[in-house]
Amino acid sequence: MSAPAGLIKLIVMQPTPYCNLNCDYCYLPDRDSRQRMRPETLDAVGRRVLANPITSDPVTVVWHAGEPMTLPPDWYEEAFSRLAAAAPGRKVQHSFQTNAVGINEAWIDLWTRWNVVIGISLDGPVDLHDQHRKTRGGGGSYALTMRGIERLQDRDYPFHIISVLTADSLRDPDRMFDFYLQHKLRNLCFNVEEVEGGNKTSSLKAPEFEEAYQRFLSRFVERSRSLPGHFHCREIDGVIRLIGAAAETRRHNPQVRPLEIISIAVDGGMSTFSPEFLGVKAPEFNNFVFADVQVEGPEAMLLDPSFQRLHADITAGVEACRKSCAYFDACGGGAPSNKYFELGSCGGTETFYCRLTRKATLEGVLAAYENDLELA
Amino acid sequence: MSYKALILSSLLAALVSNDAVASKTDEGLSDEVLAQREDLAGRLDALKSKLETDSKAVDADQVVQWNSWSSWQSGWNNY
Repeated sequence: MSAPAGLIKLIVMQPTPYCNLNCDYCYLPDRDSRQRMRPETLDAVGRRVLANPITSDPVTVVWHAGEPMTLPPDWYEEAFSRLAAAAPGRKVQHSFQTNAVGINEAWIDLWTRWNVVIGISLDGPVDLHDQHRKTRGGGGSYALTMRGIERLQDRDYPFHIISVLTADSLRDPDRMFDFYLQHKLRNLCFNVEEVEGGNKTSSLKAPEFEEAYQRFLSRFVERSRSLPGHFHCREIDGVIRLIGAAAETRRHNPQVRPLEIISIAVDGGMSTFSPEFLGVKAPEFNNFVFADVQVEGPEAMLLDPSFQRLHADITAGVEACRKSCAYFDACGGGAPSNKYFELGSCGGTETFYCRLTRKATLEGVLAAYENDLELA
Repeated sequence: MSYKALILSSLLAALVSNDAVASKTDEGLSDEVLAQREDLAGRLDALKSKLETDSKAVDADQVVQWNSWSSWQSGWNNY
């Protein structure tokens, strides 16, 4: 019996839980901790995860679950080299999601050498951004982030923007669109303010914001179609790709498939399913830690009783979604972490998060295309 | 192969062959949910057909391959 190749497609690495900002909607629970991943842990990740035959080639490694740029470029030079040495021949696409504070020539040189994909968190114009994305001193972080963006633009280094949408940003899609246009920000992703982890509420948690989000995306489709090829928006492109996909692949949902996503905490603890489980205190599931990469490989998670209980809950939740939801064929059962945080169980079905990111996204983009192509 | 390795190998093989999402389609659905599902599929297929014949709708460059982190973060599935 041979091991299935290519099972692990995404590895989320927590180099440090620390973040130099203090955004009021952040879900990460340990962002005051200055702990950093030890070299021995990196070696173990390379040997037991990257070099593992069940890991896909190429595989994506995302440095996240804390602000990755609070460790110096030299740390990553060593980390990337250690991982490469432990898994020779494995193609690895490194990726950062960062607040861009402190981007300088040394960072861009590092990312250029290793071909790192960069995503920057920027919530739009200064008033919208600074409303939530605060420094630890309580000030706004907009100017710091824009300085980093300008340095990347000066070097022509590609990056994408992730904007967290709140009630205020949904009110004026044209203002948001014009902002991106003015600052030459062409690759856009929209997240919504979630009820998740340490963030217990959301400005979007009312039915009218589902319609507002649909209108927001419909307007972005209209505006971006007037500038062909200028903007790439993840939500719009995602729906277009869904339209073009075969029916069975539309339901593919990596967050409900064991080991497809592996999350590795700063201390080597391993988790799977939703990366947002990392660091969450949940005694009933051993805090979502199912193995230690310093001791054993990711397959060992499958034998852990807490993993098996969670897997059973998630499977029950997927089956409940399958039996009850009109959108299941375009979703595949939702995000287990959002079910856990919102409903208290991964065995549940509809969440506020899925109403916005699955249903409203699909309806908003479809409506714009149906209207434009006279299919409505 | 050790006993533990044999169990792990079996579990891994089962993960691939026993995908509840992929293996079931309309089994046990109510008429209402089935009709809603068919309506959505119809809309997606109508747009697929229209987009394929409407060159102004989507230029080839528009469908970018986002990295898996972005897709994961969005909650969107198809990375």
